[in-house]
Amino acid sequence: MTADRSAWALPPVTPLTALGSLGEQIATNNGQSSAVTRVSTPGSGPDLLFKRYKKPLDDTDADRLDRLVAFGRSDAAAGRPSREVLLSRTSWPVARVTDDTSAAIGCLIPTAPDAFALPGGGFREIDTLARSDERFARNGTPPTPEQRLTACRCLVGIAAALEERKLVYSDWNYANAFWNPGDYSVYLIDMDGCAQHTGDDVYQPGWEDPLAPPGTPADLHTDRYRVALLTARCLTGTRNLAEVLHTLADPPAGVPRGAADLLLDMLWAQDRDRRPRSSALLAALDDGPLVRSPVARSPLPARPAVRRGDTTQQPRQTALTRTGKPATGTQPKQPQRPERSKENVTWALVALFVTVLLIVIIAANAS
Amino acid sequence: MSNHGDAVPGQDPHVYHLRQKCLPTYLVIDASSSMEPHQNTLNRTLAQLHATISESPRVSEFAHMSLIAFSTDAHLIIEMTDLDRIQMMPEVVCNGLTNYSAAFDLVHSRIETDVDELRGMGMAVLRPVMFLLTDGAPTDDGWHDAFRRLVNRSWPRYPHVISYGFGAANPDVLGKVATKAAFLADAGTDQDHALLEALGSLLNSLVASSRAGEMQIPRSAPGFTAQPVSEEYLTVSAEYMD
Repeated sequence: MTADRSAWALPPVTPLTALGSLGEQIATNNGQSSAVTRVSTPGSGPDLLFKRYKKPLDDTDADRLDRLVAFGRSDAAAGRPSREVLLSRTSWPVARVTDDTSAAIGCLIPTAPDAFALPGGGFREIDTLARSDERFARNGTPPTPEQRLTACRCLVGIAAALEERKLVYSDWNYANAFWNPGDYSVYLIDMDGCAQHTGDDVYQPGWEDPLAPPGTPADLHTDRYRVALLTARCLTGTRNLAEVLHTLADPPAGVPRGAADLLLDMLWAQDRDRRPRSSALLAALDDGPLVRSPVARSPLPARPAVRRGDTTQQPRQTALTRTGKPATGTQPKQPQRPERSKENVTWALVALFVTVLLIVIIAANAS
Repeated sequence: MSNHGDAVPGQDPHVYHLRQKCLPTYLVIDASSSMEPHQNTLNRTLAQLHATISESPRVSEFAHMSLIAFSTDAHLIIEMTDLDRIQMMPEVVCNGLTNYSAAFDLVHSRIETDVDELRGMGMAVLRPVMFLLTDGAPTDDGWHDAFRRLVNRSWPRYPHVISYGFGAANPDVLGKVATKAAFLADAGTDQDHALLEALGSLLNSLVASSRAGEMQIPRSAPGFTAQPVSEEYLTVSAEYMD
């Protein structure tokens, strides 16, 4: 959602016809949605998106969505930090959208702020923060440990706010959070799937709760595992789970020991009910008081061997190849420093002025 | 919804979840002389494919990729890898004949090597997939037998094959060198544009596959018409190579 109340000018249940002609389609067949389209209704406030579901929601899910929408609009929790976090740092749903049969065919959500957008289109997924400093160095400057911590605090802050409301998100993964290389803030999307206490276990390969029996709905304990996994991957720049665990067991400089211990508890507790809360992790990342109950962990798995693919590879030279040019991607660039360019312009003007002055003096002397 | 049906029965769940899923992907490119006018487009598109995939680590770590170019002979250009590990794509130089057999035989032997290596790395290896891009008809006689050897179901590691044809590609042949889908560029389509669309379709397929954790076969490709695929080669859904 957004802290901008003008978005709520539209009613909480909005007919599709009230949206007028839809704008650019920015995504198709992504997760539970068949299309995400820009909405340009005059007076609707911030930029909104219409997320159309692959199939209409049933009554239970429509009620669930209505409760999320109502939470964003209610003044009951106004001023509470968790509410402000959810409304400003996530795409909290603004309205349920219905078709002419009153079926819940989608929802309205705010567009992520421009700070999270990539220059060539799309958004900067947290996928690209969860990579090693060596990989970052190939295209620019790696984030400092403090910058990684900042992003993780922001991410876990959202998780703690959800947890406080007993809301299960379930869909934690590399693609659902965006990051801003300017201030290392984080923005979470797909909030319309949140459910109280338990919800659908949104399947994402590599994010499965190892202690949840197949078919079990996601709950707050599932979220704690996934939040810990995403946080640990961003904090350490390591992606392989076994490697993540070993890195946390012996954390590098810049990773607070207390946070590393809590992350290990959240990931590797023998009992999923014993996984620490996200709020405890947030306190540890903030260098606050470490609240840690004893948690029995499973033994760490063997550390993976260094793989052939872990080193940079070169293409083979064959009769059908010649050396190519480095690929130019959409690698995050460091923020520009406009002061430097202003400085250059100033010096150029000074040089021009001196040159003109010299010409005038020489010309005057010559005459 | 949850989909844990691919868990390995009887295994400690912690052990299973340590295994990263991997889809070995072979991009097999026709680099015969008929492709020479489109060489620059091909290389630009390959570079863009590389740039895009290496900016999406979740895709590159799932769909490990190998690049094979073929003309009179077949050449392994990039060994099976996380494409993010490659600093730059090579440029393909087009010349020579269109020897499908050499390409299919090379893919066959590489699958044996690559699946072993990926499993040795502790990965949960899915059935390989081969994307074939061609603009002509084969100039060798043994292509059909070579393809049969490659996709023979008695070989446990047979790959899924998806083919894209443009230019002078033969629609009948195209359907015979695919097991899952075959796409022929629409008549009148600019070949450079067709190349771009084919690699875009491939990329979309890999992104969708990484999201699903299994191979997602494209049902259509913009600017291309799906060709009937020989019933002989229709295969079942993705499986692990364990």
